[in-house]
Amino acid sequence: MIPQRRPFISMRDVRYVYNPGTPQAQVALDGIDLDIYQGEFVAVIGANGSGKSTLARHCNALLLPQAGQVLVAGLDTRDAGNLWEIRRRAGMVFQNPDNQIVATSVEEDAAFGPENLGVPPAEIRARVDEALALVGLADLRAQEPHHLSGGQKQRLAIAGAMAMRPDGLILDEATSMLDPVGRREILGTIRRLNEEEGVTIILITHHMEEAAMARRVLVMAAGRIVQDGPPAAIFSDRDKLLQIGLDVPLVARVAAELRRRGLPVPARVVSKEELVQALCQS
Amino acid sequence: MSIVIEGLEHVYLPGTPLEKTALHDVNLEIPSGSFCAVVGPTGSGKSTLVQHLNALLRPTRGHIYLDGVDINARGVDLRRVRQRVGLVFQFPEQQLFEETVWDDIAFGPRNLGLDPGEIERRVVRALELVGLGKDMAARSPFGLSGGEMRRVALAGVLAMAPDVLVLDEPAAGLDPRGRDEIIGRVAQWHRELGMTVVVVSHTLEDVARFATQVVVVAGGTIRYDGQVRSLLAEGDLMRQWGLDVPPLVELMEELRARGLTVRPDVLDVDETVAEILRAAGGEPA
Amino acid sequence: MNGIMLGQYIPGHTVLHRLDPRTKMGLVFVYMIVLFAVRNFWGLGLLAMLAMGGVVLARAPWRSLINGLRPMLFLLLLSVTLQAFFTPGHVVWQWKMLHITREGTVMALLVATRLLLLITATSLLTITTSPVALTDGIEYLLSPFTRFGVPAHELAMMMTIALRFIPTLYEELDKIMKAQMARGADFTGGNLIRRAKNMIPLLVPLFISSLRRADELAVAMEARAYRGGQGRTRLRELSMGRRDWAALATGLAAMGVAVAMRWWP
Repeated sequence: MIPQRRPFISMRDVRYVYNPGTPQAQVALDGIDLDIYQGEFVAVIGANGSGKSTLARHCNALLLPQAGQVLVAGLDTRDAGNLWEIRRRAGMVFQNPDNQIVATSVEEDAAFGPENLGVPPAEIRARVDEALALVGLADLRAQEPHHLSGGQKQRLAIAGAMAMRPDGLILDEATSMLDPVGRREILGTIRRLNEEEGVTIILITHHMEEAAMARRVLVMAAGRIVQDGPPAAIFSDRDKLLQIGLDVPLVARVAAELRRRGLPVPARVVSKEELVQALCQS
Repeated sequence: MSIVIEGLEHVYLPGTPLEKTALHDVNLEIPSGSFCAVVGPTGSGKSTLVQHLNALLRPTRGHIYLDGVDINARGVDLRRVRQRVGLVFQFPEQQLFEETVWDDIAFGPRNLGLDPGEIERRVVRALELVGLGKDMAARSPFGLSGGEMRRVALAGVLAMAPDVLVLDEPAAGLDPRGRDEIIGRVAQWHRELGMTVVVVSHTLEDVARFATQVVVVAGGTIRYDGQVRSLLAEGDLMRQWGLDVPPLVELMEELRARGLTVRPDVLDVDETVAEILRAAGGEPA
Repeated sequence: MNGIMLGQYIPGHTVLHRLDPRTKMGLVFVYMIVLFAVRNFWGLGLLAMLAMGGVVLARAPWRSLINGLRPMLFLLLLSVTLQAFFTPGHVVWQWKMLHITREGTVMALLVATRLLLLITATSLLTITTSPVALTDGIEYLLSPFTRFGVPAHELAMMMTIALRFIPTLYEELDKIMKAQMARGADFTGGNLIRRAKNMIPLLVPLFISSLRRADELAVAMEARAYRGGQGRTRLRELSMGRRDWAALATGLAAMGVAVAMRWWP
């Protein structure tokens, strides 16, 4: 889906320090300027402590900026009256699959969000059915949470957010506790939501292969955004990323090295498909 | 210390409506000094399998021999078995409980009834092996970062001075640096201390470089037991068993499908590059 | 941990399943009171028929009912024995120091019947009512007391979350136990004090991880716009149907008759 010009998240010179004024003070965000538009698929990468999680939590007013401004779908997060509308529009999926599930069955949990918003019961039913279908959990509606796999639990979390009809989803390292199958389920689901339903996706991750799926990658270091561009641009400069504790997808490394050794591989090849294409043309 | 598993079967809740055969017909030999990677999809039974190695689980049928001794025979000292076969669970930081790092690492040696001098030696050694400074010893384990907590948990098992170290998904939940670091350490202990190491993983590429033996568990039984490279050459079989094919191997498979005659069984970036160069007939620039 | 069942609930579509939880809870509550108010066997007989009727309607498998009995078995036997041997009156059996009186026999039967019926009634409630429905019912029944400071919604939410996490915590406890056993911990044997000490490596990690869970869960709930009970709707709303009023009427009437029987000659 072509991103619209309407911003989903806008940040102007946002700063945030944990434990300000104490010896344990820690700068998490050091002047963030950012616009993420409705319909985009953005990955945010950065070493531990770079501020990615703090950034995520500013997107739905779980944290408020100590300086600067954050607008979510045009609403200022510091305005307390906007709180619930902001949280409806910016859904969040967290890292631990278990510690997001509140109810004793899949459909009850998916209903939690709409229930909090005071949606009429008949409509809750419709939304829950819709959301479960979107993530492929319709058959498991009566299942108890502890019988679900990690991937299914995270899909349930996504359904729970989708039932609130958000403009976008923020996934804070949502795949890091999953096995490869679970990770694939989640990535497939969010890609489909982005392409078919126009949901904005902000994917915080430390897997470079996942970040390569996005159309735009933000690189964070020491509380600042140090790079912002398409994966091809970001992942073609390995040294820059190594300096801040990151790396590039394995395929990108292979491509760069082959190019260096004289094979006709174009610059900025970061995906398997592109590399295969380049090598097999000859 | 060698491990031999013969005819192992494990059935959960036998005789009830929820009866489930988690493992059947398992025969396996892990020679002393090997680095054995146990891979398989979630639910394949690999975690159940390794919990038999230190008698936390008892087989419904079959035997497990440590250096020729059946560990489930009557009169076997289980504590001794658990000292010789150290088992580290997934997300081991969840088991920390003592007030200081030192005390938590000392928990194992204390349970073994060792004298204080020996306990001190063990704890110091364990801290060294996991790369934690002595200044960590007095800190509370709960004030540490996730990665540090995991290392404390590992140290707790190393302090038992096991002959065999079994780790269930040691890199789970860590970022790429953390993963490399932990697996690198395990490989180092294997190399430098001659420890027999068994690593359960659902990500083969993490351990492929170090494994001397790879065992594929799928559907409750062993589907493959042999060299890593030979397994990597069988991408279709891997997929059939529900295994994830490493990304570089997938790359090679796709190149082969498009006519480039490359071997698929590559372990890392350097091998991949070298193999593509060879097949493409290109000379190094 | 597939062996664990939440409160014996067995999903189904029987008449009893489809009753509003408040109806069932109300009836069981009154039943319990009436059970102890009734003194003669005619009344008890009527109440027993009521219970049997419930069992039939719920199509409750015998195994579940017997399972519900097991925890109470000791208490049952103790009560029966005490009544049988220690009620004074006309002796019908004697052996050395022990004697059983006719009054004792009667009392023992009374106690046994009461306990059995009590267990059957509450089992019927938990077998036919899902944990979610139970907490919804409790929330509703407590809500009139909010004006007196009773946090009905919060209590119900706490119960729901507790129910949801019991199996998860159970699995975690199992894992922690195995991890400590792998480090040579021994949880069997030893005197009471030793056993209590041995619990520390189990309870401390579980406690700490539960605190962390609670924190993360609270944040996740806030992210989904949770702000307490004000203005909250429910996916399933409780509504009393004709069946419920009919059941209430019949049940209360039957119990009324049972009580009244104490004044029959």
